[in-house]
Amino acid sequence: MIEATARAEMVRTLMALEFAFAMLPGFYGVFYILGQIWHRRWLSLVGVGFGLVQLAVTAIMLRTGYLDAFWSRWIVVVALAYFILPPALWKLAQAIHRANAGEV
Amino acid sequence: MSTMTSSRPKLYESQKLAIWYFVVAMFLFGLQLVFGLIAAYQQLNPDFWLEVAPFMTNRTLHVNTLIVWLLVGLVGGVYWFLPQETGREVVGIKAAKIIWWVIVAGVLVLAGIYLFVQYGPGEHSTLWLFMEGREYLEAPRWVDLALVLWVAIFLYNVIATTLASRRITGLLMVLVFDLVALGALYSAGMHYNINVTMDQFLWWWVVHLWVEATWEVLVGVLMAWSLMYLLGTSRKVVETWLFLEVALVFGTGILGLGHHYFWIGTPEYWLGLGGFFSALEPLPLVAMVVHALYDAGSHRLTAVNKPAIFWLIAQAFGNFIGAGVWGFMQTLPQINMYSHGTQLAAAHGHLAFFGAYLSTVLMLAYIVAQNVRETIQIPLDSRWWKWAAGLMIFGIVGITGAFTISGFTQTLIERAEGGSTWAAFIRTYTHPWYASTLGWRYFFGWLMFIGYLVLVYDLWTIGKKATHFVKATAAAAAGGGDD
Repeated sequence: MIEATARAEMVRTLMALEFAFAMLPGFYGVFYILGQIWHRRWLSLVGVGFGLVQLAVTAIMLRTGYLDAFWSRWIVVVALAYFILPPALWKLAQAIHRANAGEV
Repeated sequence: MSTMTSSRPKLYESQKLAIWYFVVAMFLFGLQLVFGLIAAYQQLNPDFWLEVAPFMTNRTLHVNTLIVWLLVGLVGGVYWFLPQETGREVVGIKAAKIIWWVIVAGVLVLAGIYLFVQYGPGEHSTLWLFMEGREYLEAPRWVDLALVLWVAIFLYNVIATTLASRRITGLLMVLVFDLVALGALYSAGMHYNINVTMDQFLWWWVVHLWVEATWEVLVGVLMAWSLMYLLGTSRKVVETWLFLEVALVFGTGILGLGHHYFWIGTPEYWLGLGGFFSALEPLPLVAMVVHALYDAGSHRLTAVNKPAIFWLIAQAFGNFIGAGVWGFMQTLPQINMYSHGTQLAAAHGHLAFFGAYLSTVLMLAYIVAQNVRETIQIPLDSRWWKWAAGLMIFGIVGITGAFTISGFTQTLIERAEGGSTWAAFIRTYTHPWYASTLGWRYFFGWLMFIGYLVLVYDLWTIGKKATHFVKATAAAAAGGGDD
């Protein structure tokens, strides 16, 4: 049984990390896409920066030791999925629009 | 962009009905905020109206009016777009009108029951006539049946109109299948069971699957029509995105339901299943942000209706942050063991409903407002919608922040540290982090309400100047001709 203070510390740490884990891909997606649409490379790079911070957050989650093997592996898979999502969706959006160009 | 005007084409009967849907939706929105304000005040002063309408009653009315006005707004949106999509009047419009007024009367009677009867003896007659007593699904059985009948007639309208028009589009197909699920899943909430685990198992089908899956898909269809109207996005593009989003929403959301099954007595495998799919649930929401930004950004945010395009973008962001971030923050079992049922859930609920559904209904309301004037103003714009949006967004962010802090306090002090003892409960509720947030949520609730009043004024007046301008110009021209 975990001691009460340690339990509270675990909840506080994991909740803060989960918040960042979910929020950062959103920032990544927004900045990356705006950079691509408005042809501002620096904006896209800021987006990638958020993605990299999310990977760092994932690493911190693993280092805390609060997650067992199953959850650790799963968090890594999800983090990688979120990391490739914005560029993949951008390519998909371009492909969809290109395929239907001029059709209204 | 300079302002242009055009004459309004004749409205379909279905669109005239849709106007009533939005009028009633806005009225119920106001009632929802009033009950929310009273409930928030009762948390500061629990004796207020204790004998008249206690917190329990006001909270029930706050939540139930929310569900009804949002659903009314979404269905109203379909009645608005359906004749445009099919190029004809809606089949069975008389039945649609009759059931609509039955539903309005039913909602008023139900509000009266909640306010003046409130509860009954623990018998089946109470369940059928007054209240089921289950959180969020308090409506008595006769209201449940009326709601299912309403959705059934709505489904008939959509299917019969689609078949009669011989124009079966991808959007209509998605809509039809979604409406079948909308009616069927709601009926799952009627299976009352004395075993609380089994009862909760199906209860979540309504609270999670009905609201978070079938409503999301309905919103997807309405967004697709709105993007075509607001930005001229091609049908193929919006249909492709819709198919992708439906696949992601159902693919992650159906088993994502499992995060509600962690602690209700279901088998342990739900911990893994629920957590696994919950981690993926923000995926379709990120996709929606990309979709909205791509379409709006590639048009440099120039649209025929400025408030509507604002609420469209707000929907994508609000849905992601409210449903995705605030949801995922507490869905892994390691956290959820301590956070479930705290006010973190209320924070998530407030921001998610605002982002996902309120924004959608307000977008639709502005599209309707633009097209009901005698002369259509393009682009539709005003000063007041920005004030309304600012006040409401500031209000909901404040309310969510206050709930998040109090929920965090409950999770840490009452649950994780205190082990859910009575002493820990008292310690939490007297803790400054909890006690001070009660005042903050009341204050931000007022901001939200003021924003609502500005919104109603704006919806009532926006675009009217164009009509006045055209009439004055025509009169001046006619006068000049006489000279």
